[in-house]
Amino acid sequence: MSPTEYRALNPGGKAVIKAAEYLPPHELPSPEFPFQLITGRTLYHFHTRTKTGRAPQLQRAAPEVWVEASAADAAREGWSEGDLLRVTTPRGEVTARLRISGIREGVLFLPFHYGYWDADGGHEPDGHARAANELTLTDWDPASKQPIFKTAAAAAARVATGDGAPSPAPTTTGSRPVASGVPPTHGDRSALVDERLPVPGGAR
Amino acid sequence: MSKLAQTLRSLHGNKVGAAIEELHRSENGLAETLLGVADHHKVDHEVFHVARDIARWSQEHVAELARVGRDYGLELDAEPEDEATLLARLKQKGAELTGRFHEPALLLLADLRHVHRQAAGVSLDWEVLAQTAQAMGDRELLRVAEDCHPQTLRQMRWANAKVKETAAQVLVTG
Repeated sequence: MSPTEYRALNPGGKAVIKAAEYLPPHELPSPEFPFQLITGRTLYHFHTRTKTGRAPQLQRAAPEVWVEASAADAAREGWSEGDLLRVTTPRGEVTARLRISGIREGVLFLPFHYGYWDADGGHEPDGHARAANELTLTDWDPASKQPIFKTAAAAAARVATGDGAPSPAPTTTGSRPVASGVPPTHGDRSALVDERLPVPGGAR
Repeated sequence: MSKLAQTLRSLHGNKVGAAIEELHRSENGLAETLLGVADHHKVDHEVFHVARDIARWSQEHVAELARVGRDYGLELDAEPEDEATLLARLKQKGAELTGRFHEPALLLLADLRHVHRQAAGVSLDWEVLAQTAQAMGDRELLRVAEDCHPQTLRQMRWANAKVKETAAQVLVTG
């Protein structure tokens, strides 16, 4: 937009909200990659956990990467809670334990918090690929430059059964399991603190 | 349609038909150019994706022009030119261009200038068609022109914005 066009809107210091037309995603599910993959966050971590991963209570709440799928997809594929799945896109793969959550059918979710700084590889996978950011498209909104992390097509296959061990996903927020029997995520006494305030008017 | 418009259409139908046919050809050409630009600059992710997104607008315009062309006795192909055929043809041209420009950044600048000039031509043709449609009272043709023309202008503005972004980088530091 030119300065003249902008002034013609009489913005008066207000934000101008502009509608954008629908554009089809640049990668759609196909027979080879039948799922839509989205990546995102958990409540307990920030970005690649360089701080939150060092807080023991937060790290225990969400210690390792997981993958979420819907109950309908899990039933159709014969997957159970805790099964180890390999999620593949044209750009890479991640291996993660399955949480059957309330996610929409046909969609897989991976948290992007888990890279390699605190793994043995240091900066690359050491036998266990877990960085969800390797799976997304290199693509961004041309106006806002916001990266597009919600439209990748993915395939998923089971590489091992969980044998009853649940996924490391938190049982709160979006990764809440649809079935019961998964031990709940909880805090512990080590996170509690006592604060003593000076008596008003007392000596300091 | 009013009797007057019918009469005008019979009097001027051939000329208007020729304008629609010309625009149908040039929109196909613009789509080809944009797909070619995307193909030349596959590793420039923004250019690749945006050029393909806005090439689709020209392809949709091709279909719209084929539809309104029927009112003027034209039998234009509603399908835009097949991408596989286009890309095969462009591959040869692309290799020649890369050779001529030595570096991809110069080729990008040349490509963007090409897109801008071609889209400017298409834009003028939409203006001609819109004015004609308004004078003749052909509301359907006017509606198509009003829907499509803003997208042509955005194609031009994209090329202009990208030139602004890259020109100094290419010519001063390239």
